[in-house]
Amino acid sequence: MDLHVNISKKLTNKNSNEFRLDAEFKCGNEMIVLFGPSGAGKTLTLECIAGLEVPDKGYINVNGITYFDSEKRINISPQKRNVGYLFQNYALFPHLTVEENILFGLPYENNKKEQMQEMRDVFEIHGLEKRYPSQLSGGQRQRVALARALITRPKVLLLDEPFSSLDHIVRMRLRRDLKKIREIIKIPTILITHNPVEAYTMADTIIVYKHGGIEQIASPKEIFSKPINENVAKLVGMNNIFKGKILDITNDKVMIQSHKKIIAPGMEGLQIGEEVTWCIRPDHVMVLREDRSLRKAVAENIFSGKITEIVSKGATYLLFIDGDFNLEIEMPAHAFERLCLEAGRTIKVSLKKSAIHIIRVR
Amino acid sequence: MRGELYFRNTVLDKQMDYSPLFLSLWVSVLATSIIAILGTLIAYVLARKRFFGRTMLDAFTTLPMILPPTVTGYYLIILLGKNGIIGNYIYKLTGWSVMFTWQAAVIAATAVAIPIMIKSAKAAIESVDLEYEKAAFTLGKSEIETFFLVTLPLAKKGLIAGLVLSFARALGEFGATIMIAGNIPGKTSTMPLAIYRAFQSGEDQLATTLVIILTVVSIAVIYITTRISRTD
Repeated sequence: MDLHVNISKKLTNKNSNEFRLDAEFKCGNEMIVLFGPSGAGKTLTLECIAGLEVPDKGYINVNGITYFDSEKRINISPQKRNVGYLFQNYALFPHLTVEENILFGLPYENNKKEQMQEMRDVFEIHGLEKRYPSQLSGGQRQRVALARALITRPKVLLLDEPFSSLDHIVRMRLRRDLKKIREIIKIPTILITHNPVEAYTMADTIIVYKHGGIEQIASPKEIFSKPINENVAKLVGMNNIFKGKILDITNDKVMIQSHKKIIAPGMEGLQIGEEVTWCIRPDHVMVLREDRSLRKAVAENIFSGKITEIVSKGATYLLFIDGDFNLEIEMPAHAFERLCLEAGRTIKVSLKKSAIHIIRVR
Repeated sequence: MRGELYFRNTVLDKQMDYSPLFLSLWVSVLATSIIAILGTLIAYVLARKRFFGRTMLDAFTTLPMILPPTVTGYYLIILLGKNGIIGNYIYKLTGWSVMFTWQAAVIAATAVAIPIMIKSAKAAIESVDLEYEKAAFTLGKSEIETFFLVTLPLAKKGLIAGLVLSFARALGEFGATIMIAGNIPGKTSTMPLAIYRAFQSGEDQLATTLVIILTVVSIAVIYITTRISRTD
């Protein structure tokens, strides 16, 4: 099973602001996560795939069947596309019971009882059949909405921000449920989120959206460690971003001139004198203990700075320092407490060479 | 005591002509049935479809609510009279004219009461979140199926309220009716018209009875509509 999307669509809103979406990607039997800021066109992409919106140009193919093709003037109605769509607010019909909701998409005949039984088991909704959506918790609603979308055996599953309104425990459960579903029903699945953690944990492939288009398509690991540009770097939380100029290149490393000189891993195609952007994740910045001598690995890129702000995030702490570089540092709470850090103190940090990512400026 | 006597002598008067009551009910029920179908359809189109002339249609269907009923009646004559734009064809073909028949009273009541239904139903349908309809589409339901299975049940309250108000408006219709249906006793003389004639000709008993009936119906309508809008 595979899905191939190549569409463009222009929208004009009430204030006659134009918005143009261009998106092209392929999706096999995998979980693709559309990740990016709101208003980037992620939901619009899903609506085009489902047939709820009509692209201006392009095509949408599912398993070799053309759903939409502007040149061949093909536009299959949403009713015939058999796409499972989980809406942001679930869109459970409030006047129907859980059972009626789940069975809504089945044709009149069909072995409804069996299929209902299966959905009941997979989504653990025993005893809720006669309730109305207003009598369910957020997590239950979501499972019912998933059951309703999947009972028709869709060819593609589209999930519009399924995590957004759930608390932490229910999120964990949904992640588990979605993994379970993916083992049972192997179809292309597209999930929208603007939460980086969700994107990282759920995706086989991440598609990073910008306003009206796609920035980068890659595996989660690559997106998070090698963002293609500053926008993506910011989106994935690589918050320490600096400009610099390549000063020297040796076999496996390069020297970059910023406020200070910094050593970074080598990269193909770089040239001396080239302007680049380099960045490092806050959790990759190491705070050095003054009472210990340095191992060789961290002996490079040592800088100092004064702590200006400390923010506790519970399990981790965020430190902001002003100095050679203005850095954001994220460190585990136990490490933070052992170092007895406080605002105003000057500390030494190491920017581990292998954690530095270079973005070429085009 | 005197009130009771009065009530017996008037309301229960076996000699009284009840035809205006039954005619009015018949006309109003028919008009309301037409409004239920036509009004809901127009409201759905106005609420959900985007097309050229939508604002015009909206304004046009609201017009009878603003226009004096006699003016609406006058336009209906231009449209349906023996020499009217549509009426002359009907007359040439069948030799029959709708003018001064009970059917004319139904048309007058429908024309004057349908804007209320359209307004109320349009608001009710607009308040149904589009996502429910989109969800039904992705689950394979056609637009018509979706309308009956999703939109209609979810807009039910507003639709019923609109119908009850339209029924009341139809029941009280006077101006347009007298223009195109006249005031023929036993034929086109609905309650409001009968009240007018009874009062003019000094039949106070009949007038009072009809007034009481219409008052009771009106109060019932207000009660029902407030009940509907309160129960959530």
